[in-house]
Amino acid sequence: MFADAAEVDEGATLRGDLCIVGAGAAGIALARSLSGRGLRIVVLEGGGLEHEPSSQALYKGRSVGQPYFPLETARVRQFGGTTAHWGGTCRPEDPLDFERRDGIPDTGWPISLRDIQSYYDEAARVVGLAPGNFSLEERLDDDRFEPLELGGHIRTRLARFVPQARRRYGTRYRAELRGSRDIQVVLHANVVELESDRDGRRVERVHVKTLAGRRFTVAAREYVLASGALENARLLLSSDRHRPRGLGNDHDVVGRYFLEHPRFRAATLQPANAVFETRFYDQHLVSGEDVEGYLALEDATQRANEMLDVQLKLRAVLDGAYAEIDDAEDVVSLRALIGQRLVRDQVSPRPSVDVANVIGDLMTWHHSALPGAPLPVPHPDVLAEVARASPVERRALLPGLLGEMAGYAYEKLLGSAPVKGVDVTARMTPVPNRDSRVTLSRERDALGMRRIDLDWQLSRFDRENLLRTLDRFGAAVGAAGKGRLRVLVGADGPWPSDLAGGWHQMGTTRMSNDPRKGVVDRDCRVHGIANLYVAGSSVFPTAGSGTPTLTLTALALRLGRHLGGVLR
Amino acid sequence: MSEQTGESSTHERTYASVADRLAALLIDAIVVTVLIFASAIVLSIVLGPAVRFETGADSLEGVVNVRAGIAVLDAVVAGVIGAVYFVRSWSRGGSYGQRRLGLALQRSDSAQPPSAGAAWVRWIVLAGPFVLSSLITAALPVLAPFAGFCLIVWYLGMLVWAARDQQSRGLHDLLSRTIVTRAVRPVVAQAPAPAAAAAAAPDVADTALTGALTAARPTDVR
Repeated sequence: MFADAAEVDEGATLRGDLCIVGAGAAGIALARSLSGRGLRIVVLEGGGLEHEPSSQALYKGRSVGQPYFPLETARVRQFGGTTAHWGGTCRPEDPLDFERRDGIPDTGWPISLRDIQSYYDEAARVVGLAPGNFSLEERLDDDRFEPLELGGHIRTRLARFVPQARRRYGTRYRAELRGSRDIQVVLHANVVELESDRDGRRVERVHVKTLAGRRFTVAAREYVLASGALENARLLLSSDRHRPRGLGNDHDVVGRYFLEHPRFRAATLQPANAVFETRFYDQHLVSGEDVEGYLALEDATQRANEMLDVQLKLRAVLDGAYAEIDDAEDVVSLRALIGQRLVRDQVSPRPSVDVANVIGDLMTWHHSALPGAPLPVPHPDVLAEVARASPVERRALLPGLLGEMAGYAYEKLLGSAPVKGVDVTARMTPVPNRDSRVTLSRERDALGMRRIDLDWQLSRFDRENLLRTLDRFGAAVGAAGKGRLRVLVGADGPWPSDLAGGWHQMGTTRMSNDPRKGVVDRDCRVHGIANLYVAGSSVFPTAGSGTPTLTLTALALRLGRHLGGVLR
Repeated sequence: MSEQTGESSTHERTYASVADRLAALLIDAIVVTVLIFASAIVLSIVLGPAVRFETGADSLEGVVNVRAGIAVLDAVVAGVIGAVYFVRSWSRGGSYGQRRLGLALQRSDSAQPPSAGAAWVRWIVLAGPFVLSSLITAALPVLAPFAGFCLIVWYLGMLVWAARDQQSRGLHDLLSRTIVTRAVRPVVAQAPAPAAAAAAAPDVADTALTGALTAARPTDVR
């Protein structure tokens, strides 16, 4: 059922068994998992069904550390949450991500991968993945591209994509939740405070305020915060009625250990041959599903060397003339005529234009032919230029002289488009950093709630970890005779200017058995508070080599199981 | 089949087949192309290159850069070369290619080569469309496919016409009143005069010897 906060009476108290703050990936997964048990589940969503600037503006904040996306665009405040702009990449965590690592402080989850393994299959269904596993080997036969063989303890792993049409929970789950009898979603219900009892041991109610100023409360037996790492921290810190430091923050851990997966161009590879296949590392279609490869050091190597995961993706920089040859108009026409589909959404066929394009392309040589000669020979100037050109230039000339289709044929002959260089993009899993944190600022939003300051910090360890990874990668590339790596990041100085987050906000209410090291325990319950839980990637104690959405969904399902027991 | 008219009653003409003529044309085309190629080199040296490559171009179209003015000039010079080559050789009894293959270009009503005027007419009909097309496409390359299409239609038409003609005459032959023949073979004894002289020579030589011998014997009464 859907309701709007504007319909709730001023000062009323909504009651339920479970109150979930936030209808994003975690909130929706959790609510659904507890449906059908006769529980009354109230989901409070601050936004509406669609994007609303006034709602989004509540997310404004300040970034005072490492440059980050504007906080009001880094996440989405509407029904469905940040899945509204989700890229769909899925990859489960590695056992290594859960281990306490020697020499790397603050690593380790209070649970092991096995504890959530059983939830991954269902999580995959919830996020919208097709049934299947993440095995690279099983897909290689069907894949027209090949991963790079490097040895040297570098392996290729696979990420899978949720199809575009299924990514937005806002559309995908709308009908189901609308029709649900036990889930009540209240839209435009901005939670501004979690009110605990005087001792700060239980949450008694949450305070909701609308942009129009209406106020009411929600009282439940159990509460779950699922509004994203930034907002979860903000809410806990703002709930200072009985606890000046904020709720669940007795040891000053809330908001700390903010983690992201920064990505940037870390190196370039000068290939030994013109042919260097990198398309395995781009999103591509295999057996009806989009997948993408990436390179990383093997677990054993990381373990033995006290390293964290750095994922490398390769992107070929193609010879100018070949960069878009697959999409060149005449090539597209040729392929349309011979029945080859390029993209899933194919433009409707226009054979007459296609035939004209193909014929026109076959006549390209005309531009360089000797004018007036009865036989089609090239102009002497053309021959002179071709003779003068370097092999690289000559390759580039082929499409210009003989047409786009000829260039395309040459590319097919080579096996792939000739490559000028290869960009190596790194995606780091940073070490948990206590100083990377979210705090409250003095500014207040339209609801009167304090805004946040994000101080994203990366550490020296991250830099060294990156360089050591690139070192090994470079050595492997050289040893395999593939080319030479040129690292673009120095040992000192600022991080690259193109360093950006991965749209993954994690860690601000991290899991730990020790209340001094974490905000929630192994059941995702806030330390010291009997009936408050957190769902979402804000509970991650480490960034993890996987993608957050899949794992946070598995955790949410696990939490659902736990709460199912608690709420019985 | 032979046709005997007037003076050529002394000759039997076999008409060159379309295949023969195309073969001759190919030889001529090669020669002319070489000549035009050479002229293009000269023009390029004198006036600068007609074609430049921009290998750094962003798009595929930008790569080959043709300077239209020079391309047109190249086409004009090519046309002139072609005209001079063919008109001259035709008015002398056949192009190089034709003669190499044992073909001859003659008037339709005599065994003589065509007049210069007729040769020009022949040239204009045969090569005119081609020259025109090359000028247009040099100036406006975008019209190349269209011009090419027109040329194909025109020359296919000419070919079909010549193939269906009993003497393999094309439109250009008809309008210039020419015909292409193969191995002109004389059938009357007019030709034997040199042969008779050759046959007579031994007699003369014998007579001289006989004369000498006769002179040597005074008792011989004539």
